[in-house]
Amino acid sequence: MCLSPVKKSSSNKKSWIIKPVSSIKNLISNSYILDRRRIKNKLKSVKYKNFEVRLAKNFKDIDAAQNLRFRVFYEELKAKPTIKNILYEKDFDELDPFCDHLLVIDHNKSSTRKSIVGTYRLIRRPMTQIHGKFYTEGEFDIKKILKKKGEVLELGRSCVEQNYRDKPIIKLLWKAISAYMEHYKIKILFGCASFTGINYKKYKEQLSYIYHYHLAPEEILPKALPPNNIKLNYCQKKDLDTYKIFKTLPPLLKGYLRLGAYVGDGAFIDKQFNTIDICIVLKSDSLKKRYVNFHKKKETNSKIIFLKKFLKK
Amino acid sequence: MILIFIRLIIFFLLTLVLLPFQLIIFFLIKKYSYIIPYFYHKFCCRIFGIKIKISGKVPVNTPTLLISNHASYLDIAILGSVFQTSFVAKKEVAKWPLLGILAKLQNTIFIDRRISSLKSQENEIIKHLNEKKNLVIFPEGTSSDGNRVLPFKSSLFNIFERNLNSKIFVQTTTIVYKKINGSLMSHVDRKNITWHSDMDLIPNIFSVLRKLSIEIEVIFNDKFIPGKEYDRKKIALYCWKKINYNLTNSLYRK
Repeated sequence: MCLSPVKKSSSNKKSWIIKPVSSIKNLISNSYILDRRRIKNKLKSVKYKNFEVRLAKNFKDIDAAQNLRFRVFYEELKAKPTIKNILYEKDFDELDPFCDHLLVIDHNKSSTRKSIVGTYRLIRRPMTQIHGKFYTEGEFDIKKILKKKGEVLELGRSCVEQNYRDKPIIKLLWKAISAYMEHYKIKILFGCASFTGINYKKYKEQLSYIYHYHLAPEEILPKALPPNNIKLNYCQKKDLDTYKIFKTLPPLLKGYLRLGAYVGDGAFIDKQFNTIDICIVLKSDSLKKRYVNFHKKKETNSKIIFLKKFLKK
Repeated sequence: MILIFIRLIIFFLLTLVLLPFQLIIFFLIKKYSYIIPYFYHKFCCRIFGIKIKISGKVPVNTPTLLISNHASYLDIAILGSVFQTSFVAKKEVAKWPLLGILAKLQNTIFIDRRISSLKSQENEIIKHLNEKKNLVIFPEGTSSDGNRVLPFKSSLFNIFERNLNSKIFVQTTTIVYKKINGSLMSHVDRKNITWHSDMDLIPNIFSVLRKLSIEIEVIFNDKFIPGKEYDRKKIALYCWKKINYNLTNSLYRK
């Protein structure tokens, strides 16, 4: 297990209950931490008003991020917690100590645990050397992506605190991610996006929409792993009202699709988290194009508005 | 909304009726000043829809020092309705409106965290136990959210170190918030019902009053007399382990 605070030598089987405070420090070798610290100092943080986006520097930061994830996933979205999750008030898994955690910090709040209002978990290839797997590999077959040359990046466990959803937190996070991508020269992004609830019959239209319009090309197509997988194409392409359906998609998935993301074949039902997961693949060059196009459009738009105003006068 | 209103009215009526009687008894015959609070707590539990399930031996004859976990103001009504006792509380409670008076009337011992006043407080506690009355302490220092037991503060356990001659019975109790309206609580429900950290009191009272019934399990462990070889930290840890085991066992294991 990930967090076992008491040594194995003690005879009592329930001994993990005894120690009130946990630590993930002992799981990681010091050299690994130092190595990462050197890298982190090179990356600059993104700042906007009282918000700052940066990578987690120490275990306090990771702890706060896990606490935020617990509050969002288990208290708000009704995932099923284990005993350890409740006792530590954290959402954690084996991968956490090795990942980069992107944090949004609200400087108006005082304590470190509460000042973190958004997180994203980033995993690159070297981080999986110790644990051996990406998180997505547990749910989808992504060998085709991993065979490709160039660095890949897994995105996951994204969440924003409830009171901050009307603020541009996700935009800030994406700014930071694009800086991160440039630093590590990342070619392909992938990760999971999810529908809440495990009743897939509710989402038949949405699932078949993303299947017909956003399916990934064969060379990078991920596939959901049995036994908890379901197919996506329930309806035919003609029957779909694309404009209406796109509006009803979950916001995170919508954001990915707007950036030009592809989806994998099949969906995975995650009973512990009470979600239907869909694999998402994003090529970085397509992302850049979109990003540039988006800004160009904005410029042209503003020019037109300016012209109109000018003509009115 | 009507339910909340009726409950509040009955509660205030009850306190108004019983308050003068308790005042008289409190100042004239102190020996019997434990009887009215006992029934008062029982009525309060009825009014708030609290059902109590007891397992283990309840301390009746011998005066004992009870060590309990603390999650809400409801704990006092719960333990007070199970057996005749008084409590140890922090000094700020004495200044609260209404609750401060009620606390004083049931012989609550008020303490503060300064080292200088520690000795007199200990003497007071021992004096209380020598009068053959039960006493409940909440060594967590604050209240938890009901899902866990916070680490114990060992300063109050000093009594055992200083008074090796007088034998004090110690018993650990665990209060488990178990069911709500007949179905098992989730950890979020428990967090909403209990009163912990920096929550506001009045919205919390309303959310508790809104519930039809709250089922609570009170677990008593066996009595023991702490031996001379143990220091206060060891006793505190021992009690913490017992209470934590009971809580996790009854909440998370089936």
